[in-house]
Amino acid sequence: MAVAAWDQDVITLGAHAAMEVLSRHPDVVPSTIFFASTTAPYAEGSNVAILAEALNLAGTGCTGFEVGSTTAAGAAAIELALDRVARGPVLVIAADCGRSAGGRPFGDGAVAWLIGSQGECAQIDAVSGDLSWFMDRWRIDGSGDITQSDRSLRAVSPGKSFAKSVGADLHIDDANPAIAGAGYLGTAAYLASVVLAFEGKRKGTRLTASASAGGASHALHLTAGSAAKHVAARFRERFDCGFDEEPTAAPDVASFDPYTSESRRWRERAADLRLEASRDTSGRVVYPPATDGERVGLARSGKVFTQTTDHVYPLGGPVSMAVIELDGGGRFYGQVIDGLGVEIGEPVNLVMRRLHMGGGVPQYFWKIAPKGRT
Amino acid sequence: MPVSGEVAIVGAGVTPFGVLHELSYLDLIARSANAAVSDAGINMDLVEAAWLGTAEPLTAGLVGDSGAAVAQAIDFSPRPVTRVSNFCTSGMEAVRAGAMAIAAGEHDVVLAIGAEKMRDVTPRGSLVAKTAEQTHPTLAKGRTAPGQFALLANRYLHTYGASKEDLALVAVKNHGNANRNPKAHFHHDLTVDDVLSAPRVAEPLGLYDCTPTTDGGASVVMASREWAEANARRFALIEGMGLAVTGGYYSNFFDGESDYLGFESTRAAAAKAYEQAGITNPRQELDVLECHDCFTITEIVNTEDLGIAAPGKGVELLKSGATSFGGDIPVNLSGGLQACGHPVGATGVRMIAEIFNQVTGEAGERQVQGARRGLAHTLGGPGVIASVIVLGSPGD
Repeated sequence: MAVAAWDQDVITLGAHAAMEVLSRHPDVVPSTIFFASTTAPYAEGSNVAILAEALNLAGTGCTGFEVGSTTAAGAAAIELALDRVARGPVLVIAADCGRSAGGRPFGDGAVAWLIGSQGECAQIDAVSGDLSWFMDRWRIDGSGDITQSDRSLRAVSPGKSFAKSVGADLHIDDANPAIAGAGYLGTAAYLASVVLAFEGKRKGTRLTASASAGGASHALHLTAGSAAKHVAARFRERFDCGFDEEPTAAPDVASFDPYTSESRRWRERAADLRLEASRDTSGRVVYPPATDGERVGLARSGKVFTQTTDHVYPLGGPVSMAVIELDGGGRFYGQVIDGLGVEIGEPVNLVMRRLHMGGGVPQYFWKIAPKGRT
Repeated sequence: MPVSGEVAIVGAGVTPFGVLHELSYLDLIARSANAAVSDAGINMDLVEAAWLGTAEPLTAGLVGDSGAAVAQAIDFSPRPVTRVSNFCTSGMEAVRAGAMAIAAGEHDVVLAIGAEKMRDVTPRGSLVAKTAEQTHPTLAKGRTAPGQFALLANRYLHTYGASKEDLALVAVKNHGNANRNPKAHFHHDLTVDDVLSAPRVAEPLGLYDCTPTTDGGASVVMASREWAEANARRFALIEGMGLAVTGGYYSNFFDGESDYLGFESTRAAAAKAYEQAGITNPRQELDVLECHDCFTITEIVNTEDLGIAAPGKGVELLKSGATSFGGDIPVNLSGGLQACGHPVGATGVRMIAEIFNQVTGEAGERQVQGARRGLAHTLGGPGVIASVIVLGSPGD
């Protein structure tokens, strides 16, 4: 990931990571979600409930937990997940946008793991942990940016001795490792680094990986499955993209004051967060959905039917707008990411983004992304 | 009884259209209403009821959201006044409502008033900001009026191989026409190059592909045919009237049916009006048209939707000169929305006044020789509401 767009955050990144892993295992329905982040938008309020809505897990009996405080929370979430597997599959989403909290050279990214009682990626054999308070990196609530202690102090972090004590092959803290093409991904760093450590490794390879931040340390002992190196290769491809162009600057939103309503936001959450549509009696897909009527999801890919670049839209411009003919029927009309121009006939995907901050609250919705550019 | 053939336009008044800092919204009502009444050769006390078309009172401090605006602007107490609103068809809705009251026998003489004060706020502060901020928090966010019609333009250009130069010809024609209309907002000729090099608004539309932001008011006095025959200095009859509402706020965008090459609402409204007027070949049977050229592309698709050009042949018709001044089916001789501007509620009534003048032989420099039958068309919102009214001189 490396550098999130101005309209991405840990919710949109986390949702996409989760959607991807769930789409590869369509028969698996998680009964627990752990969401690990130190840069989630709601300091109070449920980030994981928003993710559950986006992933169509709300109201299914799926429960959610948020794990935070340090960037070792990704590893912590895995450990917590292991105790929940008996109840059903567990989805762990780790996401951080360190740059939004003044982190440097921290990247932005999300990784999701699906943990169950069986699988081909890896087996988690054992865990260990320790607590020994340490000031390596911190952010005080309400007072701004991430701060790091100086390098010589970080050299004596208890995390390092913990890693040694468990025989870690790989230790993740805020200095190590910086993933090429991604930077340091906060809570997602552990989940990403463990996967990458299985690059080219055959089934049966053992790995001990530890994480430490703020003096909270966690370690997992894993054995690679047959799919481990394929997942690793896929991750590497994603991380090696780096970025060739400046990310689009955030539009000046200071004077934009859109109409919002919390009642509407709640009532239309399914249509907003997961493009839930309805089907009418003749079988046609209807969006926005009719209040009554069979629920279906809008397809999230299609082709451009028509488009324009709008120079007068007042929220920083120009805005690129397109009407998309969706695969499987229906249409979507909305903004194209980063003001990119698209052409009639071009294939596109729909991606979840933060549309605006009306009422001071992130409003999530979907935008149009050229294929190969999400 | 039905409206067709039974309701007459007997007088009209139109204010200058432009940026009218010295005139308030209520002045626009008063001046056009008084002018219409005077043109009809009557006194205001003969008018029994009024309808007021204003689309967006938010741009005028909420004044214009009810009939009280008319009672404040002119001496009308205690007579009934109803404010009507239907996007850009609001003015013609005032005419339509008045016509139905007359046809019902409830009134003999009424006023239809259209007025809009758009420039008490800066152009970008008015409808553009309102649409961007006050509409639905997620659906169609990013939409503007020019942006909506730009979608139509791009699909039309793609499908029929037309060009931006073709679109520009509408602006050139209508701005040229406006030189014969002292009431228009703008009076200067444009070249195709002027249009193509103007600042971009929403690709492929530039500044001169778009109607400007304008203040204005227009009124017509309407009466029963009997009253008109007995009393009117001149009159035209409503021969056909159609209003079609084909969808909601988002239908055209999230609906798989719209082809972005025209508007079902215009076709449906025209079909109804033509049926009432007994018109089967509008190209031959109409002498003059005012249609809703909010953007250059819109005039082109309007001519197709109104049946004076076949689908995909709107550019060919335009290039043939047939819709120009002196052509056999002139369109927007007033300058249209392109050069008159579009004070939303006033536009439809301005068009009715224009066609009324044409078919009663009082269009001055703009007169189409021997014009007996004309059409007014407005189109609103994301193109889901359209109004078509056919007027004819009596004795046809």
